[in-house]
Amino acid sequence: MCNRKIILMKKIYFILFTIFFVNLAQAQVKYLTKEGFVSFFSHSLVEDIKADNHQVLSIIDTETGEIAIQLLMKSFQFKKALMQEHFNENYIESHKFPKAKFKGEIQNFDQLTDQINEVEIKGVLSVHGEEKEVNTKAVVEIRENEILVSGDFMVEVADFNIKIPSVVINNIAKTIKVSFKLNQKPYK
Amino acid sequence: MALKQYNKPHMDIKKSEANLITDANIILIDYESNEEKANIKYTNNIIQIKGLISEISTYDGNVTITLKDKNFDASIICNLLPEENFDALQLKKGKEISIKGICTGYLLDVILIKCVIVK
Repeated sequence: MCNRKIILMKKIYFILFTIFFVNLAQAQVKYLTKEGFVSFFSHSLVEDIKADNHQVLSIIDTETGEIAIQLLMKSFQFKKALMQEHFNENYIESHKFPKAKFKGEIQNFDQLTDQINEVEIKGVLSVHGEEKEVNTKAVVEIRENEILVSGDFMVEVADFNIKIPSVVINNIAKTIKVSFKLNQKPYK
Repeated sequence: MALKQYNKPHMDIKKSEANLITDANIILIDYESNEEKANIKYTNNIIQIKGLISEISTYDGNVTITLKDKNFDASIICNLLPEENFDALQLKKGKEISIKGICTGYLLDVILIKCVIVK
């Protein structure tokens, strides 16, 4: 009985020990930024619309190449106040869907050897309560104490169940260009 | 009239009165206990927050001041208006500050945009 207890205790210690060290190891391979940059651009014959977000959260796990990005829709800043209002209140409904998220994987991350690498990122983008698969090319720059991920991709407005009123249908492109520049640093 | 509406300017944060004046620890408690409720209370409003500076950082010409409270893991990240950059870089870590800006919500931290330094 007593022996059994000791074996059980040893097992528990072993598990706790493993969890502790696995966590420790993971903590060192995570890179993070809270000041990442994402912008989008809509071109139409009537007008060009651009909005910038400088407070994007992005985390890369260098062991798996997984990347998780989150941003607040209300942090997008437009040139015109009215556009920003319409975007938040009518189109993206940021009171209902305050965040956009992307969860994906930088392909073959463990095989990146150069300072500047062209990569493919595959994942799922979630905006306005809708999810859509996104595959895009990107550039990963591996610097001392920084991983810089940048690139752009196109999204269809219709894929995210965003309704554009017919009055402004000519002002807003059906396909929007999303650009990103994320400067992850080692996570302490 | 329509054109005037179309071209209406953004809120002038510097000249506008804050809708709400609060302390860093209060806004952090509110967000940690119920993000949805806190969003209703804080987002889209000009919030003035008093707290301790834990970090001043610059990236791509954007200055960010981070306010922290020792009882919370989360902090308050304030993205400054470009015209505040010079004043911001004179500030010191650990000092108390009041910042005014528009709250946009919560990721791992509370986020404010278009911030100006009050004092």
